[in-house]
Amino acid sequence: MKYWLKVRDQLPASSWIEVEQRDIALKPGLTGRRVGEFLEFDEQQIQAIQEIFEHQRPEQTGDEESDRALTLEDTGWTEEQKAVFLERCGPLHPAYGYSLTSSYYLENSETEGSSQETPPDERIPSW
Amino acid sequence: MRVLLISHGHPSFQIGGAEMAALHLHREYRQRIDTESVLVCAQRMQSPEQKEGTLIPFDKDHSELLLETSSFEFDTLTHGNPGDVASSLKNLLESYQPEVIHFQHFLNIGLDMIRVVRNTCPDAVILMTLYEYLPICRHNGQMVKTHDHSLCSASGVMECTQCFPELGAALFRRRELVIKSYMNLCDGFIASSEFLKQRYIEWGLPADRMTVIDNGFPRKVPVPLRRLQPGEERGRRFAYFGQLTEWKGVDVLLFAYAMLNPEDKEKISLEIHGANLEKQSPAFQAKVRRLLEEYPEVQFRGRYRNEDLPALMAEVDWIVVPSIWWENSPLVIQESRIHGKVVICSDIGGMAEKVRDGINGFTFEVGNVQSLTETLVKASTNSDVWMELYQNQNRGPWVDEIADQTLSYYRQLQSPSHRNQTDIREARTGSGTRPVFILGAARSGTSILMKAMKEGALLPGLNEGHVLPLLMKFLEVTDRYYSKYEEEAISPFMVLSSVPRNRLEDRMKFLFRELQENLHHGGVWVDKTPGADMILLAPVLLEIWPNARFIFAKRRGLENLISRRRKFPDRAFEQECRKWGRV
Repeated sequence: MKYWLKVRDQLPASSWIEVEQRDIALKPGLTGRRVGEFLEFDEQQIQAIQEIFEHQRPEQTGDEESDRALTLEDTGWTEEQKAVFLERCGPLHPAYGYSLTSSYYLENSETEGSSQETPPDERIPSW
Repeated sequence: MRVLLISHGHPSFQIGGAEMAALHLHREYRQRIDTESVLVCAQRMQSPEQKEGTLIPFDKDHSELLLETSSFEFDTLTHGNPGDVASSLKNLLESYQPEVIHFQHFLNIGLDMIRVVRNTCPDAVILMTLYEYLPICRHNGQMVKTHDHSLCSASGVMECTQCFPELGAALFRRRELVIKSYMNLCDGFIASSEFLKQRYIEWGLPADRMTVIDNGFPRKVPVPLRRLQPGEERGRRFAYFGQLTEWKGVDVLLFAYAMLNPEDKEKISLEIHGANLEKQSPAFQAKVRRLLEEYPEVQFRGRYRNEDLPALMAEVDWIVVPSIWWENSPLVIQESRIHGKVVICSDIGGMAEKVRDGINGFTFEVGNVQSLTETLVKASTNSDVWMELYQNQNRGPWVDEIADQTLSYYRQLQSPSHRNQTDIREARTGSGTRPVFILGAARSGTSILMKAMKEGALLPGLNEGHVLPLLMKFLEVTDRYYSKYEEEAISPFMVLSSVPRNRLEDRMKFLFRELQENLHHGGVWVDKTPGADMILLAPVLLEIWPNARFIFAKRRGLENLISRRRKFPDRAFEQECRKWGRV
C-alpha cells in the first residue's frame, strides 16, 4: 500500500482509479458504473460489469458483507499478532482513510485518491 | 490494386453460394491487368497430425491457398485460439502487402482475424461481405425462432434467450459486444440484398459503411428452350433444387403438391433434386419420406453434381424456392436465371427482391401451403404467362459486372473523403492500444475486477499476467550493473560505452511491448498482476503505453489479513502483514 501511495503521484490523475473491494460488495452498481465510466466503456459494457459485481461477489470476510465492519478485537488474533499488525500495517491505514473500527473508514476522510503523509519508503526507481 | 480475399471454404471441398462467389470474384480479378488477387480459403483440418495455420497452395499459380484451421467458437464467431492461424495470416499479409482485404466470409477463420489484419495492415481497406445473419442470430444466422420456426424480426437479449434459454442472457450480451467490436474494424460491408443491408443497419452497423452488391457468375450460354413433347404445353414442369433441410421448405412444396386437385396433379410434374435429408431431424425426415411415398408421381432424383445442373434444369420450366427463412441471394435463384428458368419463391428476404411477383416470376406467402398450391395452379394454367415471365428475366449479374462494382467500392473506401469520415485507425492500431492494468495487493478484489473486464467488458486478457514484472527485474539489474561500472560505461576504451544504458532499456521495453501486443493483437486489453513489482513498474508501463489505465484494487488491512490467513494458513503472520503494507 505504501508503494502505490508513492507511484500514483507519478502518474497522471486521469490514468488511474482506486477501487475499494468493500464498495464492489456493498455498492456494486455504483462501483461498476464508476469503473466503466473511467475506462470510457459503452453502456452495455457498464451494465455487464455491474451485473458481474452484483451476482458474482468478491471474496468477503464474513458470511455477508454489512455496513458494520470488523474491529481489531473481532479478528480473534493473539495480542502478539495484533501488535505485529499495528506495527506493520497500522500506519498505512490513515493514508487510505481507513480506521481500525467498525466504521471501516476514518470519520471525514477522503477515501479516494488520498495523498496524505506516508511512512518512510524504500527507494522508488526513477526509470 | 492488390486484393486479398478470405473465404470460409473452397468450392472444391464444399459447394456453397459464398464459397463460389469468392472463387468467381478471385478468378475474375486475376483476369485483369490492374488487379492482383490472392484467395485464402479456410480448410477444416481432417486429422490432428496436420498443423493448424498451414497454408497450402491449391492452384499452380499459388494464388488460391488453403488455410488449415481447427477451432471456431460459434458463440462469438471467433477462432478462439488464433495463435498459429494468426501467425500464418500475418506472414502472408506482410509478404503480400495487400491494399484491400476482403472477408468474403468469416466462418472457420474467425472474426478475431480482422484484428490481426488491422494491426498488420493499418492502412489497408478491410471489408466484409454479409451473406446471412450469423452475427445477429445464433440460430445458424437464419433469424427463425427455435421453438416454433416462426420468423424473427430483430435479435435482442430477451428474444435470443427465449430461443436458447439454457445459454442465459449474459452470453448473448457478450456475443453481440464481441462480434460488433470486431466488425467495427471494417471499413465497409457488402450486402447481397437490400433487405440484408437494412437488417444489419437495424442491428447497429453504420449505414454509411454499407452497400449492396449481388453475387456474380461467369458468363454462360443459356440452355436452349425445352423442346416440348407432342401436345405438351410449356410451363407445367416444376422442380426443386437444393439441400433437403427444414429451412429450404421442401416439405412446404410437397404439402402444396398434395393439396392440388387430381386434374392439376395430372398435368403438373414435380421433381425434387437434393441431398442430405438423412442429416435432418428424424421428424423432418419422416415427414418428407411419408409425403414422397404417398405421392410416388413426384420424382425424387436425389443428389446432383453441380456440372449436371444445366442439363437437369433444361428439363423443367419452373424452379420452386420455398425457403422458410429470410434467404438473401440463394444460389438456386441465380442458377435458374442463368439457365433461363422462371422462379417461384417465398415472398420474403432477398428472394422477393430478385423475383418480382408477376414480372419475372411468382412469389407466394412464406410457409403458406395454400398460397403455394394456388401459385402452382396459376403457373401451370397458361403457358403464355410462363413465356412472358421468361422474357422478362434479367440473366445476370455476371461476375465481370460484379467485379467492376466491387472494385469501384474498394476505390471508394480508399478515397480520402471516405477515410476522413470513418478514420478511426488511430484507435484501432498501435498508437490507440490501451491496456488496462489491474494492480493491488492479493485478496483485494483484483480477481473480480479481472472477471468484470474479461467477461463483462469483454476485454481480451488472460487470468493472471505476471510477465511484466520481469521487465522490472531486467531494469533493476541493468540499473545496478551500470551503477557498478559507471566509469567503464563512459570510457571510450570499453565496449560497454557503446551500449548506452537508455538504448538497452528502450530495447527491453520494446520487447515487452511486442510480447504483449502479439498476445492481445492491440486495441484495449487487460492485464492483472497483483504485487509490489507491478506497481513500481506503472510509470514505465505508461511510458510504453501512453494510453494505459490503472485500476488499483484496495482493501483495508484488517480484512485483507483475515482473507490471507484463510487462503494461506501456513504462511507467517508477519510476512502477510508486510505484503499488504508493501504494495
